[in-house]
Amino acid sequence: MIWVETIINGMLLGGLYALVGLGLGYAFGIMRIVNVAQGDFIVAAAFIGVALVPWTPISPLLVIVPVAIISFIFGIILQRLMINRVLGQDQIPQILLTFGLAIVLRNGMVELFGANSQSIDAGELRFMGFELLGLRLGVLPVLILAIALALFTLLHLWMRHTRMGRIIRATADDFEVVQLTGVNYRRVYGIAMGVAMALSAVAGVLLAMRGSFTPYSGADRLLIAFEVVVIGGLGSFWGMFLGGMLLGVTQLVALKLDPSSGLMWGHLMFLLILFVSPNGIAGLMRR
Amino acid sequence: MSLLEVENLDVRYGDFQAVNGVSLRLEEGQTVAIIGANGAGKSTLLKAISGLHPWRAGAIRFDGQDIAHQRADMITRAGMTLVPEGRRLFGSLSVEENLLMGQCSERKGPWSTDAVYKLFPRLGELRAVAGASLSGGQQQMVAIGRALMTNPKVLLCDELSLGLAPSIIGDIYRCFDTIRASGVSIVVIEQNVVQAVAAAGYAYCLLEGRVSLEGPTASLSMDAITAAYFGTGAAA
Amino acid sequence: MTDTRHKLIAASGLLATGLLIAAPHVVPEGSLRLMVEIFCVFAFAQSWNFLAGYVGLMSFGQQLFIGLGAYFVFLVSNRLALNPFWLVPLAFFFAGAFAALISPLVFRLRDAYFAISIWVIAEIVRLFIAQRDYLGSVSGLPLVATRSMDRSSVAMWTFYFAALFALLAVFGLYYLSRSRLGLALAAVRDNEATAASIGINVWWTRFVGFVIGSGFTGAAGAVYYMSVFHLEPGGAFDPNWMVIMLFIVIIGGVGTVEGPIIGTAIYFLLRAWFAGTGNLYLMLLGAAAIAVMLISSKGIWGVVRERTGIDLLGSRHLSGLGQNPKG
Repeated sequence: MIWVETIINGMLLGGLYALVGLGLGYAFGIMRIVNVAQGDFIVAAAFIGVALVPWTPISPLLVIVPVAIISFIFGIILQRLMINRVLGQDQIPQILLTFGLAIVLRNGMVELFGANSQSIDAGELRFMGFELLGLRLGVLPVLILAIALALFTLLHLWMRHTRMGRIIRATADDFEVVQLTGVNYRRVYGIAMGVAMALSAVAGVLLAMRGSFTPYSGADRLLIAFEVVVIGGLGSFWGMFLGGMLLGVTQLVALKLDPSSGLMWGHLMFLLILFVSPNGIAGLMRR
Repeated sequence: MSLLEVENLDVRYGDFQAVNGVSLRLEEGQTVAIIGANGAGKSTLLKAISGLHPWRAGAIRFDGQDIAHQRADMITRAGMTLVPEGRRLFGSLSVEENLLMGQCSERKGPWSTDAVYKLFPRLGELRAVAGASLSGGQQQMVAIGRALMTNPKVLLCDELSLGLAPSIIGDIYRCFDTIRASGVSIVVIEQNVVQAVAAAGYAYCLLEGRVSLEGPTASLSMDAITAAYFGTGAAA
Repeated sequence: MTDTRHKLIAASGLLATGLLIAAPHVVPEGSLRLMVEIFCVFAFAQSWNFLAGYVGLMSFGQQLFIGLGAYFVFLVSNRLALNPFWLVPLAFFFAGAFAALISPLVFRLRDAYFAISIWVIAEIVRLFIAQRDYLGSVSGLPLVATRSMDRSSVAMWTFYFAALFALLAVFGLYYLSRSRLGLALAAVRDNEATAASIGINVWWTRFVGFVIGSGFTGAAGAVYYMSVFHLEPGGAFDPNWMVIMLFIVIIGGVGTVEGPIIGTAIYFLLRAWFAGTGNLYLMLLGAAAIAVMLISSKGIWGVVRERTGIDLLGSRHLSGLGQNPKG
């Protein structure tokens, strides 16, 4: 029974990991941009969450709304002011640019908030639990999974069935030709980066509610995001969700067996998947 | 005043001067053909006019406005768009979604998805199919339809016949009358001289980035065109 | 013309070698240690520059090889009571072999995904070592062998090794880049399809480049930690190594031999000026990297060379940065 519980908890965590990867994978899928600063933005969003929670009415969970909005705007500004200026055939300038950004952000946060471990106070939600078929589950983790699933579904529907979603998909297909229909792809990229940032921000706040974080957590967050995207199969939507699940379960099971291993077994699982199927889960299913 | 005026345009492609002092004009309701061999600078010229490719010197006036160095999306919104070489549909979008993208120009006019389906009845049946899985001819129809959906005043067409069967090329060019009747002026680029001369009222021949011959198609002899096309004999 | 340049370069190499051989006998020990650090960091940066600018492989996990080289020398020397200096060349092969081992896996990924996958492997190795007592776990390992050796001769030999790597990082890279392998690497970096069409084995060429670059990082890493006498996983596999390497190469100019020399100088100057400000100086490094990318991705030396036409080492091996491969 303890194992079933561990696996279920792993899936609950995995949904959140999937969300961590979604922002990175979304930006990559549309703009072929790998935002190496994503992990540090996730942490920055958590700090904003810490600051805003005392003013959030009704439930501390709702703090994700203002944080997402702030991050959305920030993403647009980042893309239009910086990343759009280094777009080109070669990915290296974008990657190095965001790497520089990550360093500034990380050390800026250390400077501002100190290196101590923090977390977002989710209030009484943190201690609430319920029994299901003899399993003891936390309310917060289940809610977090529900939010992650809802965001995946919403994003999917938005991309499929709205005008903006269509424009974004067309821009992802061919950013040059999309101009011939009157679309300014730089603006579309801004919006896409805003969405990617908002998604990451929500993931960052939720991670900070489940556990703790320091200004240095960005590196681990980035690695998780990156593994989710690769395991999922580079840009495959639901592949990413499964990838997150797999990582979450691996990590919790490994921590039960080998408590001091940290993220090591998750990383090894990533290598294993890469070994078995270079195109991740999406590649496996296509076979 | 002409609808589109290009004066002494110089365009470089890397270190290579692809277009060298080209001038041309397009009157309202007219169809102009630009012919020339592979590498004569035709595509680069159209890319420059449509705003996709930067140019170095010269002037482009469209509808009385100087459109020097405007972005391609602004030029499309002003009413001039390009059907790109090789169709370049949005592969993951359906036929209908590809057409709807044209509405992003936010221009009013006669063209709607229904009008495009009337022009190319075959597309109506395929409206839910992804762009990537169409045949070449169907893709070309979608590409033309997508451009028409922006309700342009000027339609620039790059190598419509490239890689298509002759019967399909005929089908596509037959639609030009309908398109012209809706008030669209057309510039076509072709390697296929006969097709281009038949479709247009005025033709320019490009040779190594320069205009080697121009005139009303009715007055151009096939010999003169051949000479200008290949750069043999006294074309001028 | 090129012939005189060739001679000049060889002569300057000899001159530098002479100066470096004399250095330990005239320079005080404190400065010597700083020079060891400068040389090692320069060697790290140059090997990253080699990978990113010449091989076309950008890695965010080169700290992996620093740590591997250092751990190899420390462990083997401590276990078998061997003189660690003899082990330094072997560290090259050890780190290189590890790179060879992981390439079939990481070469499946491209660009940023390749870059981060090596970082993931560095994390795995770090976490693995941190949990194993026989590897020193979190608190790390001392270097036992040098304790019984003469202090000043240890300092001297460490310096010589570091100096050797610094020289190799300049002149070795210069000669490598104009060798057959160097030309093949440039061809692969610039355009894989074209390279393949003229009979270059793309995978193999890249593989060889990756192994050489990583092995060199490993050997330099071993020397660096031999000068510190102590090694722990958190430090040896610290991603901040990457920050430093990237900073030096980006600022100086990726894909040039001279750029990282300038970058290293700037890095150590900044560090000296901003010592004690802690994070502020790291932020400065990041901001400088952003600024360089926004102004010109070619870095200081790339811009200088473009504006003035000065090309000290005659190595017109600009990376693909800023060029349009479709041209």
